[in-house]
Amino acid sequence: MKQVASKISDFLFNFNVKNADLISKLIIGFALLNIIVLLPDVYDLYSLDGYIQSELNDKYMYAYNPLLNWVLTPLDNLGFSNKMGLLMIIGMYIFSLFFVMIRYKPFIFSIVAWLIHVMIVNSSYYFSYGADYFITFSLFANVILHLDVILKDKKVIAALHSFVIRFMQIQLCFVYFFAGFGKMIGHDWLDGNAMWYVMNTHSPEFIQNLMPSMIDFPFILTGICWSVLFIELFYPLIVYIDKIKHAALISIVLMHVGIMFIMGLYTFGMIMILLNYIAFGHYFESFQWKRRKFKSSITPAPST
Amino acid sequence: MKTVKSILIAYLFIHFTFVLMVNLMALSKFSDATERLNSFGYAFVKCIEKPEFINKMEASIGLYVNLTGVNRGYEFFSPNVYRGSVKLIFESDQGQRLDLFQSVESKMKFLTFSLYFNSNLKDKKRRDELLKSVCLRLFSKDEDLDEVHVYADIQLFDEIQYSFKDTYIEDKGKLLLTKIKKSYHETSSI
Repeated sequence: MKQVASKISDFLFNFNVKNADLISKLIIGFALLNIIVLLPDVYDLYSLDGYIQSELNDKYMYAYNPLLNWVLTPLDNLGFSNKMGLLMIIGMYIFSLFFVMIRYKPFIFSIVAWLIHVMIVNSSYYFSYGADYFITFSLFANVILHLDVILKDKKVIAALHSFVIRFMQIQLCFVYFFAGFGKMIGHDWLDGNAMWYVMNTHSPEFIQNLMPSMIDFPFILTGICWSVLFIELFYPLIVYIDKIKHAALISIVLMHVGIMFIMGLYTFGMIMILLNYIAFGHYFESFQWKRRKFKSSITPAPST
Repeated sequence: MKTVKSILIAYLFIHFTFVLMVNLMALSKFSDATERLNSFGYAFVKCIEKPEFINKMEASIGLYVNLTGVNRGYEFFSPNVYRGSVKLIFESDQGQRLDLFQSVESKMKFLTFSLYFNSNLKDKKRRDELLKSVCLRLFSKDEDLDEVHVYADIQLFDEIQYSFKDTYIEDKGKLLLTKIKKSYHETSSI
């Protein structure tokens, strides 16, 4: 029993994180990029009188879900218009991300950025999808990561950083397992029709033009479906098995690249690749190290 | 150090218990459409159908899972995929196409809205509420706009096993959903 507890503790707290700052910068950089891309439509998406008016959106929210309304209404009472209030909140979000990026009061501003993002997502329920929720999760993980500024003991900080990476790894295992499990209990992912429908519906025109020829080779689509099913369902196992973990990680990244270009889900694909890189990117550091070692072993020794 | 580790382990356990519950709740919702499940899926969903204790916990864990972004299950495109596409089209009464968004990501978000809309296509009240809200914004953006016509461009696909190259797409064409006038935000649903 003691051995198991020690192994769990070792797994969670003794992982050597060399690049905590880079991890934070990647998360923050992605959130910044995401909001900058959305800026032209920010008013239509998030304002109280945007495409989906707040009364309609808030109807499906619990009273405790943080909403932009919580800030916009008091600002309105202070004489700031809805538009000005929204610009102030979005500005605050961008500045908070920027301050975290330059490590100015990173703990406080990572909390501010995370909470504003939660409000933004909740206030656009009908427009929010997987990518938004994964950004929320990443910003939350970033807050835990920045707890290091209030800790003094270097050992505790190292343990905390290790914990955050393991936390993200386990989260990804849950994500992929349930994504695979959900597909496994239907029909379409087992007989190949899922890819057939998805590619006919979401893919760019040049791929859609190729779809009729797929009718003669349905096994290709069935093969893709089964591969997706296998990778997702067994991700929690294969990503930890030494001999296949690199292949597992490359496969999952390729799957997301496919999602980006076939379905046009660029933000979703990128955030998932980023999360995989943060959680398991260190696999490729050791891979590079082994390659260098292998190269040096086959380089002939200089003749004397 | 030991206390910090104990707290973090306890937190980890609680977090993933919540994630598990959220996903079980999401899977249990498939019990509304059991014909879409295979035999294993049917048996599984019957097992977890309406787990009372999970339903009761939903409200109590709601804030935490919302704040951490784990409030929606991960059953993307599951258990099956809709066998067609429904594109929402907004046009002025002059027949001019009205683009709702400018950025690529916003257009993606509009697709999310469309998917949500499609799943409520038969719920006329909710459907009209959503369309009216979108049109109100369109009217406020363009003062010259007097009336918006909303269409659903519907295409259905045959299963690949029963598909023939020239006939696998069943094009239902543009179906007029509603006409909304600016003056009183009148809705004439079809």
